[in-house]
Amino acid sequence: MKDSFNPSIEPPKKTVTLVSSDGYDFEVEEEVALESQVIKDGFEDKAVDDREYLLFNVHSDTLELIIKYCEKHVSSRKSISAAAASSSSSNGEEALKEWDEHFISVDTNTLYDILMAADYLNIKSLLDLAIQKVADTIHGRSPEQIRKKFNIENDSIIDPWASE
Amino acid sequence: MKEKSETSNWLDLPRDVMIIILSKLHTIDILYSVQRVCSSWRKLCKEPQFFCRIVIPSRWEDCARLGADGLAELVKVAMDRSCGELVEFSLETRKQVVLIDLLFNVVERSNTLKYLRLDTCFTFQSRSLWKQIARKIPLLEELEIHYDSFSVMAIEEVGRSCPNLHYFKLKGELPWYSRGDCNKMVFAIAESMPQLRRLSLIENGLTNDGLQAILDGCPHLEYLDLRKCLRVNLNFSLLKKSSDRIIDVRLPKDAIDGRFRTRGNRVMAAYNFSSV
Repeated sequence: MKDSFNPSIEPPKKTVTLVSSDGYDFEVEEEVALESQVIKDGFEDKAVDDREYLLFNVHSDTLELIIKYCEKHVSSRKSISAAAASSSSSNGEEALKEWDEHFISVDTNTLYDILMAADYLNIKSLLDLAIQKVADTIHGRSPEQIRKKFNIENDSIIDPWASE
Repeated sequence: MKEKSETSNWLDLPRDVMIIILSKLHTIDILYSVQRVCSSWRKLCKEPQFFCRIVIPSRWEDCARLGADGLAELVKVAMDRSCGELVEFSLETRKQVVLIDLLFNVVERSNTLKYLRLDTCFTFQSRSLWKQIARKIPLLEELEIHYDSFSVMAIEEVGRSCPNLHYFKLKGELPWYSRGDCNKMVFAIAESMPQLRRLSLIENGLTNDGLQAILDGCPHLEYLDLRKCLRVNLNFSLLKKSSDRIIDVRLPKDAIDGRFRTRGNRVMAAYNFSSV
């Protein structure tokens, strides 16, 4: 375990290629891709030389964000556990929370894309983050404000509240 | 190659994801807003799980507009949908006096209630009704209530009927209560709620006798809030007794915002500090 902190002994990082729905290749470190439970589940069964994943449901704009999120979480986790191992004080978790909050402060269209991608790739922490953001966006708003915010058409003929 | 669509269609979200989103919202968000957005969301809003916690938060602006009748109607609809599985009923709003009927309606239709928080006051007469209410909430674990709505008899009834009660908070002001009245209440707590782990008595006029009774009567107490209990005169032996056992104590002169929150054996130092 200690050896992994010594860069001279560390083997070259293995990478995989993620292909977005609009045909762009993204080369990422294996451990970053493995943040996705879907990729992780199929990883063992995949041939050693086949290191490509076609993500038919994730556009390159969104995939870029998803990779950014996973990279941040992989590196933060390492520094948090390193700080814990050397028993030095660290506000890593607090800082990561702040980073998450900033990361998810996006317009509703982008939020939708992140939510769908996190669900499709099954990245639990990102899915939770996006779900909470949507809930916060709905909370305390009137039906009209919600429709406007999420671009939803009112197809209800009668107002159920008025009718009950 | 798949083109990215210009605008997202939120109605395409997988049902299970949408259910999780909605489960994070307050009951009033669901009833008052979400189900009125469109027919597809309206259908989703029928799930009983969204209605096991009825929380009317203090900052809900439409509450006053709704009036007591409207609020009662809203709670009734939520109760209908909860399928008798209500776990929490919290009225944080102080803007109106909620009819005792409303609370009756709630406890009458659900005996699964664990958390009851009321920021509104009932009338004096209704205190006697606690006898009937307490018997309908045998699983109650946490209770927050105003002094005005409660009495010695109510404490005894709740203590008797709710053996799982571990958190009890009495709040509000007691301007006309004498030390004797306050101590009577506190004696009743010590006698009928020995299982308490957390007790909050902000602005209570109890004296050292009352505090002594609490310390003797509630051996499992982990948290005790005595802020603004200005008739308590904490002497060394009483302090020692509480700090030896109770993990978290708020002292009479501690700030209400919790700035002087004290823990365990730091109680002594904190007390000296706050009494300067």
